[in-house]
Amino acid sequence: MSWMIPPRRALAASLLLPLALFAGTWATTHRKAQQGDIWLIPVQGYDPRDLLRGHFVQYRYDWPAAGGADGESLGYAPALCIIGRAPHIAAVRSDVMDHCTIVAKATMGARREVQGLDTGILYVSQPRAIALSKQLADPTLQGLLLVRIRPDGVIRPIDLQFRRRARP
Amino acid sequence: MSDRKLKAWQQAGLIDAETAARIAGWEAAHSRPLGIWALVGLGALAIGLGLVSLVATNWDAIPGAVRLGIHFALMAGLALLIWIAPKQSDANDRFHDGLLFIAAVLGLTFFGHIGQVYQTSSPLWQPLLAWLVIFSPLLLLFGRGWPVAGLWYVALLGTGWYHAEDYGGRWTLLGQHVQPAYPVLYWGLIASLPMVVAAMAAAMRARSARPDFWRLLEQLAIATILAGVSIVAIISVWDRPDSAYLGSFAIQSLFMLGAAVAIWAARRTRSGQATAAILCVAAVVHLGVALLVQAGGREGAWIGALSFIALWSAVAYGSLFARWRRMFQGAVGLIAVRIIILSFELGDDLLGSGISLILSGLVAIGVAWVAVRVSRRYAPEKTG
Repeated sequence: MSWMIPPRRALAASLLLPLALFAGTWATTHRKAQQGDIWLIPVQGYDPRDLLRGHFVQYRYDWPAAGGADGESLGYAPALCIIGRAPHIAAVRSDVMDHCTIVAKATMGARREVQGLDTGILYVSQPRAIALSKQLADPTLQGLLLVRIRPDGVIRPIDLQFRRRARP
Repeated sequence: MSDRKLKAWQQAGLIDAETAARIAGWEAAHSRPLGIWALVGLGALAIGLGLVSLVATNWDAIPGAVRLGIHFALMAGLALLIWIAPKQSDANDRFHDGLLFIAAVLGLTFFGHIGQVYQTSSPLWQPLLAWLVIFSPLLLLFGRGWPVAGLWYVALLGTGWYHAEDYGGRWTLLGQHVQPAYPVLYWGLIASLPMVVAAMAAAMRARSARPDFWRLLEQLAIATILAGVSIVAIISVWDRPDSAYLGSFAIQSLFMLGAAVAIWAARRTRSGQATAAILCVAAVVHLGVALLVQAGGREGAWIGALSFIALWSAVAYGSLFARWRRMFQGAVGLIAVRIIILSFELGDDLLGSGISLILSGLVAIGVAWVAVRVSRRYAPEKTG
C-alpha cells in the first residue's frame, strides 16, 4: 500500500512512543511530588473492616475544627482553610478566608477514596499495611498523616505516624 | 483428528492402512495449533499477572525510584528485543504476539507503579485511556493473534466502562449528582465503541496484510454488540429504560447501521453481507425494544422474548446464508432456551396451577427436541 509508512520506521515509532511518554509522566510526577510544605494531619481508621484493601490503608481525616465546631462535616467541604505553622495544624475552617496558611482542595478527578477531604489512602507494603491497620484501630494511639500540600491545594500523603493520645 | 478414530475405521475396513497414514499426515500438516495458541496465551497472561503482582507487592526494601527504574529498564529492554529480533518474530507469530502482550502489560502496570511510589491516585479510566493512546500504534499495527487483539479490545471496553461509571451520572459524587452535559448523547456514544471497532476492523481487514488480526477484532466487536442487544432485550422488561434515554438507544442503533454499511462496503462476500444484515436487524431490535417497552404495559414478557428471538433468528438465518455452522447451532440453541424461559414466565401468571407447570415442561421438552432436530438437519456443513 502506498500510504503506509515503512514498517521498520512505524515499529520504531510505536516502540519509542510509550517509552518517551512514560519517562515524561514519571518526570512530571516526580517534580510535582517535591512541591509544597509538609504538614501533619490527625487521622483515624476509616472502618476497621475496610482498613486493608489490597496494599493500601484507608484513613479518615480527623480535622481539628476551629472553635470547637463539628470536625466531621469539614471533610465534605470542597476546600479547607488550614491555619498553623507547617507541619503543625492549629485549626481548620471550612470558610476560606485571607488568613489561611494554606488551602487544601478536594480533587474531583481522582479515584473515589481520595476525592473528598474526608478520606484518603496510603499505599504501603502488605506487612506494613497490617501493622498500620492495627495501630489505627488502637484507641490509645493518635494517627498523624504526614502530607505535602502543594500551593495549588492538592494533598499528597507521604507517611503515617503515631503519637500516644493524651488521657482524657 | 485422533489416531484412535483412524484405527477404528481401518479395523472396520472403511479405509486401508495407506489411506489412514495419508489422512494422519495431512491432518498433522494442516492442523491449526489452537492448543498451542491457548498455552502461549495462558503463559503470556501468567507473566503479565505475575508482573502486576510484583508491582503490587510494593516491597519496602527497594526505594521507589529504583523500582520504577527497573520497571522502565524492563520496558526499554523488551522494546529493544522486539526491535532486534524481526526474523524470529516474522517466523513465529506466537513469539511475536507474546512479546507485544508482555510489553503492553508492563506499560499498563507502570501507571499503577508511579501511583504507588508517589502516592497519587487517578480514576481507572485515565491510565487506561492513556495506555490505549500510547500502545494502540504498536498493538494495532503489529499484532497478529488473539492475545493482542483481545487485550486491546478489553482495554477499550474497560476505558468506556469505567468512564461511564465515574461520569455517567448513575451515582453521586460527594453528595452531588454528577451528570454529563448531554446525557443522551453521552450514553449513546459511550456504548457505541463496539460498533466503531467493528466498522474499523472490517475496513482494515480488507486492506491489511494481517486480515486474521482484524477478523478477530471484528468478531469480538460483533459478539459484544449481539450480547449487548440481547442483555437489553432481557433486562428492559423489568428495568424499563428511562424514556429520557430513548435518544441514546436511537444513537446506538444508528451506529449499528453505520457499522453494517461499513462492513457491507468492505466485504462483498456472503460473510460480509450476512454480518451487515444481522447488524441491521440488531439496530431495529435495539431501538424497538426500548420503544415497545415504553408503550406496552403488561406485555413486557412477550416484548422481551420476541425481540430476543427476532435478533437470534436473524443470526441463525445469516449463519445459514454465510455457512457458519457453529454460529447457526448456537443461535438455534439460544432461541430454544428463550422460548422455554418464556413459557415459564407466562406460566407464572397462573402460579399454583399445576397444569401450567406441566404445559411449560412439555413445551420445554418439545422445544429442545425441535431445536436439536433443526440444528442437526439445517446446519451448514463444516468448512475448512
